[in-house]
Formats: sequence, C-alpha cells, structure tokens
Amino acid sequence: MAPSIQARGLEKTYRLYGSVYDRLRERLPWNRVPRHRPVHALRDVNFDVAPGECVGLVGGNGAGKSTLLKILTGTTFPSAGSYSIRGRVASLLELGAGFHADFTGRENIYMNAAMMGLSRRETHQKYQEILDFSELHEFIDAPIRTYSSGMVCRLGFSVAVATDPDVLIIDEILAVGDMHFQRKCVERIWDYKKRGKTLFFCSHSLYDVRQLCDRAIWLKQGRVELMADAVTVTNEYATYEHQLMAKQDRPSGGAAVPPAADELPRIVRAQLVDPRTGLPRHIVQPREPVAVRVQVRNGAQRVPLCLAIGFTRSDGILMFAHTTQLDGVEFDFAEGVVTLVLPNLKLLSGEFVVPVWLMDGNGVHRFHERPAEQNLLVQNRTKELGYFVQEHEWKVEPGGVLATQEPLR
Amino acid sequence: MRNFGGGSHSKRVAERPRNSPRGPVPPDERPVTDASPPITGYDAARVPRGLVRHVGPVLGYPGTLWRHRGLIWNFFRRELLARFRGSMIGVGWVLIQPIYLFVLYYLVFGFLFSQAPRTGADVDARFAVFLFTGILVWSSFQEGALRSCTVVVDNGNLVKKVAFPCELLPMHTTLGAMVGYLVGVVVVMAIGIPIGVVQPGVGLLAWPLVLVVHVTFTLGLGLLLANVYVFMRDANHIFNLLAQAWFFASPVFWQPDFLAEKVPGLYHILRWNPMAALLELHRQSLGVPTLSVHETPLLHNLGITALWAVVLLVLGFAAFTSRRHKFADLV
Repeated sequence: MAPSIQARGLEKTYRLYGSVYDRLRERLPWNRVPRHRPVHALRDVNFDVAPGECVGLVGGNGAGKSTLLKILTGTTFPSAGSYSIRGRVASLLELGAGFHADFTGRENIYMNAAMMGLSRRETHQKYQEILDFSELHEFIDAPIRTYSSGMVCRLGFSVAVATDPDVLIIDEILAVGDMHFQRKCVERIWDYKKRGKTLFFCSHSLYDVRQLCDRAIWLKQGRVELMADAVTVTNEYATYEHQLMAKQDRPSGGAAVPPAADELPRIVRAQLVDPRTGLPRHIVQPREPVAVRVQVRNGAQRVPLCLAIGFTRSDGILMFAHTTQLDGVEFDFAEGVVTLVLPNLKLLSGEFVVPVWLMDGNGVHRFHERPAEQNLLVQNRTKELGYFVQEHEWKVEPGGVLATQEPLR
Repeated sequence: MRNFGGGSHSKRVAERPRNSPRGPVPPDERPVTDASPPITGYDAARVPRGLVRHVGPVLGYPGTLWRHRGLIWNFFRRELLARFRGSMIGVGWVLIQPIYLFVLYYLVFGFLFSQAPRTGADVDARFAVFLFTGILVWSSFQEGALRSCTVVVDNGNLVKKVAFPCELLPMHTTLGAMVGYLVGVVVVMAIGIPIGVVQPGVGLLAWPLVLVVHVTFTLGLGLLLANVYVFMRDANHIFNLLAQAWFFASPVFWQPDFLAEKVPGLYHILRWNPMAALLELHRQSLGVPTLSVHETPLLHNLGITALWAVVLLVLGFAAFTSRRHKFADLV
C-alpha cells in the first residue's frame, strides 16, 4: 500500500543573522563572506508512514521535532529533500492557533474550520458534532478569551478531528485538558486509527507515545537517531536521557569514594553482573536475572560484617533492599566477594541507583557506603504499567457475586 | 508552484510516482480504487526559482480567492469587528466618520474658502464633492495598501502554525479599507444628488468594474508590500513616505484644470500617474465633477487603470508567491 507520509532527505537550515543589516549586507554583490550562522534543524530525515499507523516523535528540546511537524503541516518548507502526504491533512501545532480571543467559541469554530478547508455548509453540518465532542455547550457563546487553556484545547482538538482528516498531525497538545477529555481524545484517536487514518504526533510524554503509537522516531540534533517500534524507541530514548542526566550529576558526588581509614572494613568495588555469565551487565529486562557482586575488604581487625544492597529509583524512592543479616548470611573473611542474586527481576522500566552499605555484623554501625559502579537500567518491551511485575492470575466466574461484608475475624 | 491550497503543484507531485519511468506499476502499488486522495507535498529540488516562474499561477489566484471566500469573509468581519470592539457606537463609526468629514469639507470649502463670487454659483459645493470623493478613493487605496503591508507579519502565528494559502491575507485588508469608501459614496450620493452637484449617468453602470479595478490595484500593491515587509520591516514606513508624495502628485484636492492652466508641463507628466486616472475614473462613474477640461473618456480611463491594476497584481502575486516559502521562518 502506498505510504501515507513519505519523507526523503528532509533538511532544514535556518539562517541566524546577527542583525538586520547583516541580512542586507550578505545580499550585496561584493559580499564574499556569509554573514549568517546556519542552524541545522533537520538533517537527512527519511521515513515512510503507512496508512493507519500512529507514529510518535520523541527527542529533546531543539531536536527538530516541531520543525518536522511544521514541514509536514506545510507551514514551513524544507531547505532540501522532499515529502508527500496522501490525503487530507489536519494539524494542531499550537494550542488555539488560528483562534481569536475576542470571538466566541461558535465564531471560532467556523473560522478555524474554514482555515482547515471546510466550507461553511460542511461546518454547519458538523457543528453539533464539534460542540458535543468539546462539551463546551454552556460556554460556546462566550469569547474564548474567557476560556481556560484546557477548554481552548478541547475546542481546537474537536474542530481538527471533525474535519475528518486522513492524516492528523499533533504537536504536544494532549498534555492539556482534564483526564476525562484526555481519555476522550485517546478513544477518538483509537477509533481514528481503526478507520485506517494516520496519526503523527510529538510528545514529551513517553507514556503517551508508548500507549498510542505503533512506531516512534527519535530525533537527535536534527537526525533520526532511531526509528523502530514505539516501545524500543521510548526505552532507548529514556536510557539516553538518564545517562545524560547522570553524566551531568556526577561532579556533584555519587561515585566519589570517601577516603576510608585503612584499618576499617570497606567496599572495594560493587558491580552489576549477569549471573548466567558472570560478566558485567547493567541493562536488563524485567524477569531477567541480575546480580550485584561486591568486593569487600575487612579491616585490620577482622570482624563479622553485614552487607545491605538497595535499589533506589531516580527520584530517591527505595524500591527494595536486602541485607545479609536479615537473611541470616554471615561472613568475616579478610577479603572476598559477596554476591546478591536476583533470579527474576520484578522491576519495570526505569533507572535505579544501587547503593551498597557495609555494616557490622549486627547491622548497626555503618562502615562504608558506595553505589554500584553503574545504575541498573530496566527496559520493558511490553506495555505493562507500574513499577513492578506482580505475580497474578485472573479468574472469570460468570454470574458470580461478591460477599456483602468482610467476615469478622 | 507550491502546495498551498492544494494548487496545481501538489497534483504534479502526485503524478510523479504513477508516471515513474520504471514501467508498469506493480499491482500492490496501484492507487486504491476510492477517489484518489489529494496529495500535498514539497520537493526542494523541484521548486521553481525566480519571479518569472510565478507569473503563470496568477491565473489561479481569482479561483483561490473565490474558493476561500468564506475564510476571507471571516477575516474581514473579524478585522472590522475588532476595530470597533468595545466602543459604544461600534460599527456606527464607519458611518459617522465620512458624514462628519463631508459636512466639514462642505462648510470649509463651501463657505469659509468660498471662491463662488469669482468663478460662479455652485462651484464650491462641486469642489467639496470633488475633494471628498478624491479623499475617499485615496484613503481606501492607501489604507488598504498600508494594512496589507503588515498583514503577513501581523498574522505571523497563523502563517507559522496553520496551513492555509497565505496569499489570501492581503485581500481582507484591502476589502476592509473599502468599507469607508462605500459608506462615503452613499453619503456623497445622498447629499450631492439633491443639491445637484452629483449627477450620475450611464457611467454608474461601470462603477462595479471601477471597484474591481480599484481593489485589484490595491491588492496588487498590497501583495508586493506584504512580501517586502516580511524581509524588511521598514517597508511600511518607506511606503508611507512615498505615499505622501504620491498623494500630492495625484489630483485628490488640486483641480486638474488649474494645473493644466498654470504648469502645463507638470500636468502632462502627472497625467501618467495611474492614480490620476483612477481618481478621474471614480469621479466619472459616480457623476462627481472631475473639474478637468482635458477629461479622458471613461472607458479609456478604465482601460488604462485596468492595465495598471493587472500589471501590479501579476507583479505583486509573483513576488509574493516566489518568497512565500520563507515567510514562516521570518515572521
């Protein structure tokens, strides 16, 4: 089937001029040096989108996401390359773009629809549908200056979907609007996909991309870094972002080892490994085995030791921790390795710091603390939600009823 | 040509895959049987460069305007309402202004600076009508061109965020400037005919055509200026300065008669001014005295001004559309 959207070698270069005179000076016939600084917003972007596909666009600020959407919308034009879109296009690039604050919701519906290419008669036919979807019945005759941003968003989305485009382009719009309306939008988008229409949207919410999109494109500095199924792309992108953040955080502490007095027990190294191979590995999937190997050196005086290992989410919440003392494991060697094996990791996507504490045998006095050399990155390839994989089973009882009250104990 | 408004360029892109030189299209690539969907697109390598390539598409411009008449009407209404929103008299100002101005002119030139004793009975009422009509024509032209000048930048958010044919934009500003003219003409007629200084004849039949020519002329200049303004924000100031000189070079409030009598050389130069012909044309068709002994026949004036209007429109349109792809990055 012919692709719905086809992009070939799309490039966009903006010219940044220092002043208005530079633009003029550059045009003078005797000018030899460029007076502008080229900014490459997009470089060699190629992709095909099949009809009925939903493609998400992820990437950092300034990665070229909005530029790409603007090009596909047809408001700005590529400096090189080509694209073509099959079918009627509607786009929502900005909340309330094309709306006039002084006019009522009703007037704006007509104007916005006219701008999207609907005739007055068509708009008239769809007016009720638009109004019903936006649920703005009581406000429709008030100027939209009085609307909240969520209401403006509802109106904009309602008009855009009412034009029944073959290709819908959305730039970070769903973030606004209350839960109820977001759910309606998502339902509408599912319905829209089912009818074989194409959706191309950009979002910072990886959750949305993962839930709504079949495929995703990760743009990095104007280039397509990765184009694959939405789950893979969001995983890779999240990993990259976390590593970037970790790199920036490093100078402020973390890996720095506090100089421990030689005579005290200390952690020499702590490493994440794959227990099947024994080799270092810090990127895993849920339900895979993972192990933490800690090299410990006892102090000048050999004492019984206790090791605690935790898994802390990037926002500082301790997901779980295990200690040798609570599990009844004892050791007092001069130097050696203690390994914690998690044969079936139950964490879902995320990055986890793995702090390791070395304590006395009673778990009271803390000798030394240091995190594992690398953070644990969990990437789930499924659409499972939440933080944990919980063992579970489903039962279906036709005609079953619930007990009215919990029995007294 | 570009993909604006589903114009002919987009169709050309659409045909490319089908006419591919690789021979027959394999069955699974054949277009689906439902009415082939519109295809929009842009190929940077196939964009026609230069002004001349954009002259041809001007033929499609009236069609574009007509197809989007609803949108233009909305813009027009929005601008008109926005201009008077919040004022107590509101759109009534459109009526009050010209009536007031006319009464003022009538009093000042009819009585205060009356030359009636020297030249004859009703000449000053005639002059007042002559002047007032001239001002109506001139100000609708200047206001239209000046407001079109900034219209693309003023609607920058639309140009950047909404895909629509932005060559429509100067249309509503041009039409908006015509409102004052139309109301003014009604005032001139309502007052001028009873006192006998305005004597509309067959020329009135040509008036709709005169309006078309006037709008085309203003629109053409507006497109040209709007395009320049995007790249150079001094354009409106420069145009304003030039328009002042142009105003005095046009027979708005000087009588062609006097100039022909006193400085015939200058008069014959200024006759080439398209606005001179346009002003005379308006007065002729409305039956307003032209106060000129060397009056050019109405149809002749219509021909000249129509020619100017078409030239300006083609130039303005070609300049506008040949740069349009840069607008969104600059506004």
